[in-house]
Amino acid sequence: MIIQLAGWTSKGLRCPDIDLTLGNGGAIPIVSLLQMPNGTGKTTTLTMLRAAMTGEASTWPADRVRALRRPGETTDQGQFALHLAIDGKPLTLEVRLNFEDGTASYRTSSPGLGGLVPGWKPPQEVQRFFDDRFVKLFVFDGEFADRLLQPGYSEAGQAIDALFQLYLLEEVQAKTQEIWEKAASTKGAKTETGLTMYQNKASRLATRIAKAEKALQEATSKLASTNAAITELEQKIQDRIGAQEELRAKLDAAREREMAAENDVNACAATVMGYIRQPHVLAAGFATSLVHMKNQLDRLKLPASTSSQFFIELLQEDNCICGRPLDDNTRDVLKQRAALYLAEDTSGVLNTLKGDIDNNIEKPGAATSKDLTTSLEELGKAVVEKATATTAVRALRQKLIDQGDEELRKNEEELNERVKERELLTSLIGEINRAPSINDDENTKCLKSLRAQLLEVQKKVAEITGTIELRQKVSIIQQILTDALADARQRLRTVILQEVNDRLRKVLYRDPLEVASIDSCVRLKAQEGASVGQTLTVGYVFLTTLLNRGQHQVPLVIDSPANPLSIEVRREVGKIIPSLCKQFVAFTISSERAGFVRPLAETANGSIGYFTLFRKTPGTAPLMSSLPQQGVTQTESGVLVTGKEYFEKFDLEEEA
Amino acid sequence: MPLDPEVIKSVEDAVKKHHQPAAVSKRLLAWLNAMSGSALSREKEMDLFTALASAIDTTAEDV
Repeated sequence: MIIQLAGWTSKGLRCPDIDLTLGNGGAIPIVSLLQMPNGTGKTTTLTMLRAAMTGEASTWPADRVRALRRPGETTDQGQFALHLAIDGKPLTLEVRLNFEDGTASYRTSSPGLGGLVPGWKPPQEVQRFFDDRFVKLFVFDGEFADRLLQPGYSEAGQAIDALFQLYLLEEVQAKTQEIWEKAASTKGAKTETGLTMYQNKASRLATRIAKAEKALQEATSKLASTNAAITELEQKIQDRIGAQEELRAKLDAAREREMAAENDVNACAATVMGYIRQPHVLAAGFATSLVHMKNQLDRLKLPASTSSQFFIELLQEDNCICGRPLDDNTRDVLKQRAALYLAEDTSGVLNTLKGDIDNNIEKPGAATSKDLTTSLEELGKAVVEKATATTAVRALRQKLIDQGDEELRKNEEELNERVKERELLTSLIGEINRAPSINDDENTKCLKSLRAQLLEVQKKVAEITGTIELRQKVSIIQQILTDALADARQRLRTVILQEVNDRLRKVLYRDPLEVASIDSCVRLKAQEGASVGQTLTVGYVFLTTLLNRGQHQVPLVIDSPANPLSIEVRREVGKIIPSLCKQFVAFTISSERAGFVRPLAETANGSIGYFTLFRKTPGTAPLMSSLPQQGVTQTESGVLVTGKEYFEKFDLEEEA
Repeated sequence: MPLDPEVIKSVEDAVKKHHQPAAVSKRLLAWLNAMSGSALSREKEMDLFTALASAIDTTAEDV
């Protein structure tokens, strides 16, 4: 599908009234540059572009709607119509803002609808591309590009999911679940109460799983940023206290002692845990009783022969082992009941039990309760040692801080906070990822346990409703989709990483930067050394790589694309952008032109539109006398000039 | 609009991993492609699901 931005019309909004057509005689250029001085309403235009595409304005609160009214004006209506071409066919999405009521409504126009109809109604096949997650990828600002590289955000991972339609795998999973639930709910009327109970439980578990998954994702992401912050803070603190050599040496030594003490505590704790798991070591009474039992078994010669042999021999005797005489009746009863006693498997268990008692209790060198007592004493000592070492480290650290300055103190406080935060996050992640326990109920955070519980409940529902085979099939489909999703993410990230680095080598050849990995965010090698311009370039290269590789052709709309870039980087980015996307629309200011526009125009092979838009104000009044003869459109609030010559010469002092 | 080759490969590999016949990947990909192209009606979804479910082998090794 090819989605192109053909232009837009705005009226009564914070941006000047304008009717902009990007196409020149019908053909939409690869590059459209819209030069707007600061304060002309770039942000408003971008907001309205997104709102028209996503249909989100109908949910805006009244104050957000009213905030878009042009200051000082009393108009009660504002409107923004976005003109698109979808596979060459026109589509107009119009947002109408009522400033009195604080409400927004939509109108849609397309040949498929037979003209203009009320409501936000883009064709169904287009709607998924106008999802908020998708739109922010191609109508974005520098902030978004920056977040692609921030460990605390997951924009990069979401961008891959959105552009490569990985959400479809999750949607099919959800559909199969829905189909099975529907099938299960229409059957099993005989056991309605039980069925409802299990269905409710399944629903609660599914909600719980979704919450746990979300919490895991958030905690993992947050942990990454917390770890990065801790490393940074530790480095800052190290740097600031680096000068105080003597104290530093003492602190380093104390830290080593603390680490050694911690290792001792861990080793002792592991030994103690090993002993605690053996009952005969836990209490001497257990050992004595177990040995006594083994002796009794030996005395009874059990299980020397199998029980059947014992009874066969007994039946041949005149008297029972209790001394009573055996007659035919008694023998018959004994014969019938013989099978109840000491079967082959019981005999096997007894032999194993005796063997274990021999090996673990009676053998010389076997662990005893004394060993446990000794280990507990050693653990106690190790814990005290560790506490002492930690106190020593804290005291030395405090001393260093006391000799430092206010900033050092602040860094230390922040570090402590972050460390606490890390502990909490690590503990939460551990709890969510841990192995299931038999004590887990449906309130647990343990994902594996929740999934196992859900599977059990679903099996139960399937049994009750007679949908076992369907359940199995749905379960197989869901497992396939889960595996495929994880694998596809990994493959795509690997391929994109390669492509991004290839492009970065070309774009930033003077000062190369490399992406180390792509997971939820883009991680750079030596990120701390990257400039704002470099990280922004990485953001562009990442997104344009995705757009280029993805199966959609969508316009890339960027606010101030070159502003933070150095002249050299502007040239390289300018050269590469037209080759990476099919339509590029940039909102620029005059100071961005240098180094950026010429390479952009060269790579676009002349397929470029130049537009200059400014508001009619006392400040721009002198510009009115120098407007060109052609290509000028004036409205009550603004002036739009089409053409390269005026675009290149336009300048305002404030931006110089 | 077609799925990315890497996504197709992942689906095919996952189907193989679960010892399911090749028809499963074909039908699953057909469903994904249909969803990618347009919003599906309930009937169409049921048809795609029925076709997919009928290809699933519940006696396969890891079931």
